[in-house]
Amino acid sequence: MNQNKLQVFARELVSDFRWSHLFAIFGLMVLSTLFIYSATYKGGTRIPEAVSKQWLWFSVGLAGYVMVSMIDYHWLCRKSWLAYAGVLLLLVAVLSRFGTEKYGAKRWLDIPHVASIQPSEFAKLSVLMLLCYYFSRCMGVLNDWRRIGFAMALAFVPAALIHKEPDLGTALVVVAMFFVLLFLSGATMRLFAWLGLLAVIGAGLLAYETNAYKEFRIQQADGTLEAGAKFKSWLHMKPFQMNRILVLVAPEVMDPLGERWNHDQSLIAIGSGGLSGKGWRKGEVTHGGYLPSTVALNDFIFAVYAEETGFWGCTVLVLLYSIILLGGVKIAMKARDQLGMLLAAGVTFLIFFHVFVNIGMALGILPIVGVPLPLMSSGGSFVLVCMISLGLLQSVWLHRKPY
Amino acid sequence: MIPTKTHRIRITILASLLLLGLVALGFRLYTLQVVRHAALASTVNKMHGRVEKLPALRGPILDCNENVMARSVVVRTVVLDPQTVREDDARRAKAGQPLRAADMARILGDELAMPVEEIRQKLDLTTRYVILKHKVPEETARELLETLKREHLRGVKCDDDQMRVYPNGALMSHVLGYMNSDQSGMDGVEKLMHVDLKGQDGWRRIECDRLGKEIVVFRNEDFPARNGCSVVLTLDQAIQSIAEQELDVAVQKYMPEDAVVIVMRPATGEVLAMASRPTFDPNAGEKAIDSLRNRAVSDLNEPGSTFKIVTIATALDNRIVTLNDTIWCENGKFLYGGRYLTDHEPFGSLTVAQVLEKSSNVGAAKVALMMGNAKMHRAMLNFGFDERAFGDQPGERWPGDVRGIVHLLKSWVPVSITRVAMGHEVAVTPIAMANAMCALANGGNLMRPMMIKRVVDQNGSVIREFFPKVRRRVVDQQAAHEITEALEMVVSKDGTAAKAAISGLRVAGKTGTAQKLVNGQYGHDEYVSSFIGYFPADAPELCIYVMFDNPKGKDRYGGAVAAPVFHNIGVRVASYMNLKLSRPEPSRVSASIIPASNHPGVMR
Repeated sequence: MNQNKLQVFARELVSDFRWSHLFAIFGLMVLSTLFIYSATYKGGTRIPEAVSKQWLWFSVGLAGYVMVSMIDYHWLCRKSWLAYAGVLLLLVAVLSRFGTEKYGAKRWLDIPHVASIQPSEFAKLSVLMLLCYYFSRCMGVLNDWRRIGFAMALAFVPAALIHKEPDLGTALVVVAMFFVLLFLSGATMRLFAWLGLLAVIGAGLLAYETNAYKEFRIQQADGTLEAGAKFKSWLHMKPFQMNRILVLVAPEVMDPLGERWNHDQSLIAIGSGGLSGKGWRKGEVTHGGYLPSTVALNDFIFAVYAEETGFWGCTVLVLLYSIILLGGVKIAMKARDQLGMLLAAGVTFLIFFHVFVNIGMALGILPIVGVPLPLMSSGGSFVLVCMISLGLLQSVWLHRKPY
Repeated sequence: MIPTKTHRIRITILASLLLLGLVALGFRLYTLQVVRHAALASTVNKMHGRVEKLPALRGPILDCNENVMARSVVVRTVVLDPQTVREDDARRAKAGQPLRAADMARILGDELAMPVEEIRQKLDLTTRYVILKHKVPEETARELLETLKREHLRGVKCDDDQMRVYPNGALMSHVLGYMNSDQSGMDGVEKLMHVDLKGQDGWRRIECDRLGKEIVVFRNEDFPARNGCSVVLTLDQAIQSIAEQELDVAVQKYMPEDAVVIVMRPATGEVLAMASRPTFDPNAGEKAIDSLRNRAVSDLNEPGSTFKIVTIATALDNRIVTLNDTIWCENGKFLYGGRYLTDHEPFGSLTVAQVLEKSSNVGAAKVALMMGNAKMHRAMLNFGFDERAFGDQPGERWPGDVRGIVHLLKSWVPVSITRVAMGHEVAVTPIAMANAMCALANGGNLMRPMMIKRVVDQNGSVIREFFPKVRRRVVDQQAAHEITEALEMVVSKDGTAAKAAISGLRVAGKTGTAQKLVNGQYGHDEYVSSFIGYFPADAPELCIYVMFDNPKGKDRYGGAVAAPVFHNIGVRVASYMNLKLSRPEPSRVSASIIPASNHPGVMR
């Protein structure tokens, strides 16, 4: 009897599984392997360390994906506060002396001989799950300011910790996720009208400050400022953050060999790829070291990919993401309950946000922030997070009917 | 709780934003990769496409036994980039490390043997390409780069270059020519065979990284260099060396303005040795202009009495005289056309053979008069005195080779024929004169002189070979035979060139002592003394031309100045070539009175 039930479940599982998702995931894994290999290729036949590492994380991720998709998401979300608490602890640990500093940011926790993990990546997932759980529980009474405030705190405390690392990109992901979930869980439009107004004012301030900073830069270049003069930002923006915005709006005042370098090289790499690309491992911008090798395999993997595969290759990549994203929207629509809907939509948004910001940054329409490309960029923690998120999506789909 | 309609609407809104985002990315992608593709792709090419030259090594010049007369070696040009050195020091200053520019100057000074002060000055320049030293041996350059690498100093690189080396110094320099600073051949073989010698540079299109280093992964287009061909000469280093040694001894003794020696093989026209003085060392950077000229092909002289061979041979060929016909030599003073023609000593009746033996001007003039202007003039053209000896064709015309001067027949005055007969009123190059003698020696065929035997490419296959070429027949066999008989008398005890005789060999030859035209007048102070001879007379193997322009000393006749040099060269070359002695020691040859000049054991 019991065995029979299991057989039915297994048969249902096989026929019901969203194979298209798995197909897209495998497609991305193959591309990721190929182009991390390309980005680190220096001749010879040895497989670069980054590729083998990525494969290790892919296998761990796949195991996690299958496991999570089998487990009922309700149970997972109910227990998510444990993950949340753990992540908060890790985030504090990263900021303490346990953290490892690389490229001027303290983002990593080194577990000797095992791996180096990035707690901020896991924060994205745990915040998402906890917020979904919370919002699904307070559905209907969400216009209560105290509850909104509490949810906000749940999101903003880890975001603030992450921002402190500093990792503005990831912090922004967490904050954006909060507002999207707030929106999806049915908060009144009046709230969003106010938020919209705030956003406009914020954008105005930012524009004003950016302009002031531009003037400052021009004066600095003219030499009309005394030496050592510093720009005072009352939005508390750091100079490199201002620079990244200025690169987009006023590239002419930036140093092409300094602040503008990555931006320019990314555009050159992508543009020179043309329709059909230069061929695998034949990207001159990447292999010439013009696109710095420290970013080519993670944040700027898209530039490498676009240079070598061209417009058609990029179309394939975007199609693969579309399979996941549109599938995610469908799963959200078909979800059994509000938690499932929020979770599916939240995961879909999470993936979309990363894809959009990362590619937008490589294409020079968004400022450069350290947001990786899901399943493409090298980096273990985020691969694991993506796989678990996609597992959640699958779980929402598989558990949409009460068995 | 079951999702409500509001939720679905909000998801739809989110999904549309999502789609909009993807479309925006697609649009931007299209703009970059399709619309702006050409511009961005050209930026890439400008950034790191580079064509690197693969220099071809210039081919060697070899003598007939394939001894190396000239070859090229790879050297380096050491180049400094002061900007990099400054930048590195600025970086060190920031990091609080000691500055290294002084170390750099010291190391460069040590390795390149240059004054450190000069390097310091060059380190202050603002350009990025400062040449420190040319022609640095490869070994030194490699050592320098290794030292700098060990010391973590950047900013010095070594460019490829090559240097021409002439292992024998000044030997054969006029034939070989020399190279100018931009690696092109300037005279001689270097110039004539430049295209063959220089080879074909290869190239490689390479992609460079941000630091200008090659990305080996991208090495796809490769066009290897083809090294230059070797040029094999007809000249023989050993004979050349004998000829130059003897010439130098004589030059020391007679202090002439110029001197020329040519050794040829009459049967083929091959030049075996050719030298002129003053000479130069092609290895040297600076050379005296005057010493560069190859006088053997570029200088015109009135040949003087050696030219009588042309007069007599033509008369014999035309059967106007025979060797035994007697000529009345007017006791040394012959009035013709209102001018006196004199001999160096008064002769009465001489046979035609004796005219040559004693070198009587009057006799030669009378023979020429018997022939008449037209025949004489045609003979001169026939012998090619108005042509370039090596020919006019591109590829065979020897650098610096000039035409002789033969006046047009219509501009001859009545006395012209008597002057031309003894080698005045005509100007020829030494090589043309020697070549004319070769024609008589080989039985009447005027050959094209040969200096180059073959051209061999880098794989050792012969791509071009030169063969003896008969230009035309100048006299018939009988006339050639007869004149040889007469010319043998010249080196007899009673002849003008007894000192040219070589014991054990039948030598034929003719002296020449031309008065030089000084300020438009023939004087008795300056002479061009020469001797041309060949041996063995019955089957000539060698023809040697020796000429001194304005030798100093008491006796300046060709027989006294040039003939001993001919003798000395002849003895040593005959020995080197293992010539068979053609007759037992003839008693009349007075070789013993000639001090055979120092034979420093080079005789093989």
